[in-house]
Amino acid sequence: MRERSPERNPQENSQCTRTHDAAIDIRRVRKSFGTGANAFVALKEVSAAIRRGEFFTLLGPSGCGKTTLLRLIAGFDQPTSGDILLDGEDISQLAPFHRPVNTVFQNYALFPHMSVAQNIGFGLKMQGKSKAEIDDRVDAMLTLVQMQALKSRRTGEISGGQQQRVALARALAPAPKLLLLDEPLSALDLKLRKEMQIELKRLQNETGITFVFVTHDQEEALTMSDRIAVMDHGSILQIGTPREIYDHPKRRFVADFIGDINFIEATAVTDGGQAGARIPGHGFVRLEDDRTLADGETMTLAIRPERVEIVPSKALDHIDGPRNEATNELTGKLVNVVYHGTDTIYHFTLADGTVMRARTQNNRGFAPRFSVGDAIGWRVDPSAISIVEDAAA
Amino acid sequence: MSGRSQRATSRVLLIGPAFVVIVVLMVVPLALMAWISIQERDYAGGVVWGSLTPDAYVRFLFERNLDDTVSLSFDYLRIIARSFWLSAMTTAISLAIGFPTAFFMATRPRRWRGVLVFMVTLPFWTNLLVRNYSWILILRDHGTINGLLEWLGVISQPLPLLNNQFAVAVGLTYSFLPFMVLPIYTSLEKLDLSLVEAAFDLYAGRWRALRHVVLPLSLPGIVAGSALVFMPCLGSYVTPELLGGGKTLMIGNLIGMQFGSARNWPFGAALGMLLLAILLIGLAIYALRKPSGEEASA
Repeated sequence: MRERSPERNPQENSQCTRTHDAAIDIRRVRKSFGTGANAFVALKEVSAAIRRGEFFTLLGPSGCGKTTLLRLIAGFDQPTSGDILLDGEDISQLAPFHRPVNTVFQNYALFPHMSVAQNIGFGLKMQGKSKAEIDDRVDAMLTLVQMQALKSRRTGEISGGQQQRVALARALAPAPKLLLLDEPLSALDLKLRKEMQIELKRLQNETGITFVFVTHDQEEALTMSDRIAVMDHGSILQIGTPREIYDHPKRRFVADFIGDINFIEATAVTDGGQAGARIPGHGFVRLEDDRTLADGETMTLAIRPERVEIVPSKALDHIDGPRNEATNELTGKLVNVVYHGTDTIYHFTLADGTVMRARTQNNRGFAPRFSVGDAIGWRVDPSAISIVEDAAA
Repeated sequence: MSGRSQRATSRVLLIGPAFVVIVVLMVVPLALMAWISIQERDYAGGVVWGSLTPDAYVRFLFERNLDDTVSLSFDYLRIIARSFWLSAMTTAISLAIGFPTAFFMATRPRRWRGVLVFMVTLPFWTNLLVRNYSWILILRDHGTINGLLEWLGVISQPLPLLNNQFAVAVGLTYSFLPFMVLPIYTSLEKLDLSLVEAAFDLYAGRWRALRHVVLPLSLPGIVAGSALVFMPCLGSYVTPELLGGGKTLMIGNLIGMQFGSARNWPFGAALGMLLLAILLIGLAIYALRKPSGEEASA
């Protein structure tokens, strides 16, 4: 039995943006497996609106619920509560074979007893299309994924990358409204994966189909997506463009999961309408985050290492005072310098022992200007500081 | 001693027992049977050794009348046809029951599957004779089924459930069903369930997913199961003897009769050879068929 919450108020949830051009509208979807004390909640009230023609990525560590959400959209499982709307129509109770949605499976799930062409034509055949129509469409798909030469091969006789292309062609052949991709690149080696990333983007552009892509690879998500939903423990923590997610993470988990980042515990200062933060043992930094802060509130600041600039400390004798609004400069002690080829990472400590990292490109060759043990100064632009919520979802 | 001869010795020791068993228990009896089938019968039982005659094989289709003329007779052919018919029926019923059973077993959580497999093999722990006698108790005029139906008022006269082809088919299906379930279970257990999901995803409903994906992929199990049911059925002896009431003869009973009351050993041996030949031809066709399970084209 499905339990449904009697009152439905989408505005309650900040992430439920009801867009008119939403291809898929996920509304307060919950999914639990098992009953009673053994029940496992895979998704807790997830809401998201995926726009038409969008490359939308569900990103998160394994067990975060991203595959569960994908399976609910595909129809392999039914939500415990909540609705899934496709073009405004509730499909959450439809069988998978009644949904105009196709899936590229993680292990490809190609039919081993059929040829490449038969695999690609399977969906059309099941839809009752005529033989001529199927043949035409299969040929077009084979061209699209550049597999014409291997059309009569069995799926066991082709390589992993080729199987990947067949799986894509098979899912695209019936021209679904939505294509679901469940970590489709995870079985490929690095070089092939990079190729297929570009290939996928090309296919999406050429077909104009909405893609929902599941991955745990943050780099893949950043390079391919129009928008990303970062998930953890059955919740969507943040939805945004790769830029928004990377530059302005709203949760500590999001900041930490994607890329490298520094966290600093600080206290809010709202004196004189100027938003800022006081870092224990140091001075004041200006913030540009639009969040309204209460004076004295403790908070966590997140700063990307590449946005931290190391400067000689001599010039900074005046800093760490009560105010340093002009420069956003603080001091630290250099503890390690790590050479990474394209760039160098400086590790330094703050007064309370917090270790920070600054990343500098070696675009003028590697010439360490500072040595371990030096007192250094560091500078960060207010726009590069994000305030992140610590609490788990 | 060289290592080579030592290896040869150990090879002989390893192969030896199996070789002896096969020669003593298979080749020798088969040769004996073939030899007996072309001997003249001794009316007191046994054969007149050394008297070559094709009589036993001729007898299969032709009848020797009292005035020593020979005429065509289909009596034995009818028994063979009935054996085939009953075996085919049994195989078909076993498949119809066995496939869903195997599918159910293969889709249970892993920890349950071992228990289910054990339960399928449970009947084997009881003697075949005892199991067939139980069916007599269930099927006879005042047995379990007729008794129950009469008590419920559904029927006033007992249904003729025993001593006919129906009873034999029930008994054979019951006896050989596990041989159908187990090979199909094995092939279904290996089936990747995401293939079924892929079929659903590509607009195949439940039946068409079954027909286009599950059935073709479990075909090896179905073929093996069918062979394992059909072949012992064809030569079955106990079940038609007990449940057929002597009226529903199958080849096995006919052969048994030749070595017993009919005292026609050569004919019994000839029938045995014939049965063997039929099965071997069937197996050869299966083994030599094109090794492909390709789906019929769109």
